[in-house]
Amino acid sequence: MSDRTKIGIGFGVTGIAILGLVMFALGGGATDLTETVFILLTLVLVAGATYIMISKSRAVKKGLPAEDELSKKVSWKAGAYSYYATIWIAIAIMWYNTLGVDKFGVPELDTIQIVGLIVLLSGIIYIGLALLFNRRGNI
Amino acid sequence: MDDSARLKTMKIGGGILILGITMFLVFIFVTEISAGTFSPLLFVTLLPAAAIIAVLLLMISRRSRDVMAGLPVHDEMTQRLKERAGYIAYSITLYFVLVLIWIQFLVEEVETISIEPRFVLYGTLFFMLGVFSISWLLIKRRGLK
Repeated sequence: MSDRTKIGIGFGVTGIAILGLVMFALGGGATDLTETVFILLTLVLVAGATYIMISKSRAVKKGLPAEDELSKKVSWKAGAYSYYATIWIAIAIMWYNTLGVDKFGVPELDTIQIVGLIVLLSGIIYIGLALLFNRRGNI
Repeated sequence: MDDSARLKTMKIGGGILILGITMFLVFIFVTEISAGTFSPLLFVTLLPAAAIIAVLLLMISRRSRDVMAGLPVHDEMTQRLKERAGYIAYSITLYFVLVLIWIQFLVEEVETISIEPRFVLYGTLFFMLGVFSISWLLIKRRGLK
């Protein structure tokens, strides 16, 4: 797959996410605090993805590769750690929804909230780690 | 830590992981049976669990053979392999959960029912472990690119 195709797909996915948010806003938008927080976090993730896509497309325009050896290493390492974190997030939610609800009477999370939490928390971890490894350089 | 100690740690870790997966399955089955919500669909979860355990056993046996032959337990290649497999598994998992959101929205619209949150969690966990195992095996066979 060429660099231009990869960037095109990236922009496509980001566009779909923005379209989803616009449709959500047109359909009445957030009705409670949880939804507002989810939307804000999604906006942060979309903004991050857009920034990455723009910097990659600038590199390609200059004739540089969209992904060099360091950025590959950074994304692999950040992705691997996010993968481990996602497993623990899912296990934590499982405990919350079983023990938390039964023993402490906390409200049970529904399917959308669970999926939203998994995507957003792991996304934040991925972006945070990628920025950290990028700053460190030697990984 | 020398390589034989590392190998012993790896074997213990693998054993704990296999025990954890088995306990997790027992927990699911006992919970579902005691709640009276047992579904035959749960037997499907045995397949990825069996695959994961088989991959773990294969990994441990191969690694012990390598150490016996004088090779190191951890090297740069193994590290990169795990990172690449983790990255791929994470990316695919994100798409998997996004598809789940869409299915949930569609099911709600058409049937006015909802996918059980516990099935979402079980499914996601097993999917993640299964994808990691498969991508690890594929990358190991094809090499890092």
